[in-house]
Amino acid sequence: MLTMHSVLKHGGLYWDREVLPAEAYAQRFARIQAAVVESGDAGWFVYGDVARYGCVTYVTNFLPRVRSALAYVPAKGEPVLFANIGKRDVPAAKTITWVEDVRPFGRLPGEVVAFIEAEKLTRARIGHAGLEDAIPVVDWAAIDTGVPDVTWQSRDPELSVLRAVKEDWEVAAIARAAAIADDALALAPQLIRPGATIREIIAGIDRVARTAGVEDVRYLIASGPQVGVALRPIDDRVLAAGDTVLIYAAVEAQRYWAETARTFVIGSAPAALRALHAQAVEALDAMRETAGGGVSASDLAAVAGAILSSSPYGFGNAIGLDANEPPVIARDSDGAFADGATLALRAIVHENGMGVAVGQTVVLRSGHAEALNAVAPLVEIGS
Amino acid sequence: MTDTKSDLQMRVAQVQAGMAEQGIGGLIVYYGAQHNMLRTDPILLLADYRVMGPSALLVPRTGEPKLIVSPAWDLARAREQVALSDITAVDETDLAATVAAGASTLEAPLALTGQEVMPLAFARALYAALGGEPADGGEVVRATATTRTEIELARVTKAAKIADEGFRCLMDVARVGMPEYELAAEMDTTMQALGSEDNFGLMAAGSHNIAIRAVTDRKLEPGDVIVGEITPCYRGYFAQLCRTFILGEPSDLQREKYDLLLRAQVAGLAAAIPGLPSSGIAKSVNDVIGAAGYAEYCQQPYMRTRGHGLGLGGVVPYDVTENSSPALAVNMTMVIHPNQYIPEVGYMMLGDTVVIEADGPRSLTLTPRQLFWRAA
Repeated sequence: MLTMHSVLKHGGLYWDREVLPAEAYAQRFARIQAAVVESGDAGWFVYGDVARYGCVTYVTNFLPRVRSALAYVPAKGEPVLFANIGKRDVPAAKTITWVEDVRPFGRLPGEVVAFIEAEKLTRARIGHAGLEDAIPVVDWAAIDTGVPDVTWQSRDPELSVLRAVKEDWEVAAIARAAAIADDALALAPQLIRPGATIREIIAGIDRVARTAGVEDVRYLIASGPQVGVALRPIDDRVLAAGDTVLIYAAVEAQRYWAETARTFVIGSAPAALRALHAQAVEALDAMRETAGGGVSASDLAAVAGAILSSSPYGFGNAIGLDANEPPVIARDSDGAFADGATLALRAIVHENGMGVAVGQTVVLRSGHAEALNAVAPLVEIGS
Repeated sequence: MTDTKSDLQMRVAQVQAGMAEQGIGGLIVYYGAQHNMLRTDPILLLADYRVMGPSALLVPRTGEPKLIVSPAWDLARAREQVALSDITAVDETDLAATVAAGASTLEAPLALTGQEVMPLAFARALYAALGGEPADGGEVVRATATTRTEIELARVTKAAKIADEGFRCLMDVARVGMPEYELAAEMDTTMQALGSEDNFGLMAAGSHNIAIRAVTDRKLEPGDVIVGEITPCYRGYFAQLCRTFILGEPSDLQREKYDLLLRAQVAGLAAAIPGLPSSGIAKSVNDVIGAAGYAEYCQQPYMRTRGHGLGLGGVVPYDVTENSSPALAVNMTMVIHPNQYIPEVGYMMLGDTVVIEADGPRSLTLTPRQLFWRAA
């Protein structure tokens, strides 16, 4: 789900090899390289920036904290990682990637053009992934002009197929992120009280997540009259008795994301709010019961949509190295989920001046959905 | 103090004057919502709104701009916070067509800003919808972000105060055995509770740091030199504080080398005079450090810059190097930091956010300029 982008990822940036085993990257690289060979391309450039880094991180385990990075996967031989960092940052960069050849750059086009020339690829067909939705148009124009005889071919579909099915260690990493999200939000009932500001409450929750070693946490909230309208970034609203508070949290730990969403009320929840929350839980349950390998995203949206009339944020999406991986769970979505996919399911509703939020992260295994975190009940505080 | 609305109207009028000067009929101001401490957010500048998704402001030659934000569900927040009458919210997939439709009501010729952050696929869709690629109008907006107004300065000042508290927290909570990320978490959440909405925070700890970096899971050890670059954001405006803290009593050598940074900063501050080129700051800092025998270290990878414009993201005078040309002006805000790798003691940091005033710089960060330490 879209959240406010921060100027820098705020958590720890390191490689926990117990969570992300180094040997798994060698196996993964072999699969990617086999796909390059099968495509008939000379190699693939795989791009990512600080907001959409899933593709480049999938190949390299490197995470661009600011700006961008580009990996080159040749049909034969070792990969190269170009990172938009200074020379002095290379030692730190090498601690989070298995790629030996890390090249810092200030301006990408010149670096890429020189590389293509040096590798004698100026008349080759080269694939690319993660590029069209992220690389700045001015950078692409300079590359395209610099090597006009290269034939470019999008390989986003091929890389997406590889990324869609998560390996067991990836699922474990996502489950770890989900558990941290749950632990952090478990503190919310102690912090939500009349007179507290949303910013103070989220700071307390964030402290729990951050001290668990996460790389990033994103929040969307709504409180008081806002809950009937929409979620928003953290604000300074002061809570009052009777307020409903919605908190959506996406946690990234060791490159992998998970999400959750919860509803709190200061005092007793009105019957109508309880009923709406029950509907949201029912919609989430229905999606989870319907989900399985091969299920279409539109079918999942249909079962949730039969229970909830509106879904301004969609009913979820695939999740992993990116918080928002395709397909999105929406009625007009044309994608499907493979067995082994991990999904963020959510039912967040605003209607009649009320709002509720529930969310859960699941993995599809052997034809059904397994929960990686729990669906939280409506929490009444101090009632 | 002028109100925010008047402040914004003044900035828009400046942009429109620039448009008239350059013969631009209508300006499309695009921003991709990847907020960056070293880049000006033009929509925040002209609409005082921190967008969540890719968005655009359509600026006519005269009259009020139109704001188009994404995602669609962010409309209520935009209408609450933005003092413009024409605000639309659409999903990202509809943004190019909506911007093009809005731009069709602007006078020709059109110009566009933001190509340097505009993704390829969106640019293709926008150019197709517009019937071609507009001229580059980036300089019109960049010129507007040169100096801070009274309202902007108040926000930078508040951010500076939060940065001081962030460093105070670092000194209070750092302890042997604590992972770096936990120390950063304590600082960040302390600053969040004080109103910080974002932070460009970097920190390194070790007996001999090579450079500043992202925090890791390394646990603090006795004698660690902790260097911190603390950059909180208050209502869209940043301030930065760079300091060095030792978890243990500093050696005479560490004190001596930190004194070098202190002298270099004094020299740099003395050169921050309105009308003078910003390169003078870098030359002054480098002269002091070079005279101590470290001239060869006054370049990358041993340091990055001697400071940079800061406030609304990266602003004029941008990076302060010996080759930087912008002249300093009253009410510019910037950080001056002689952060430096020194072979005997490693990387050390010292930097303050200042506002340039008629008689020189006034520091907005108020943490004393000294080498801090506490027994491990």
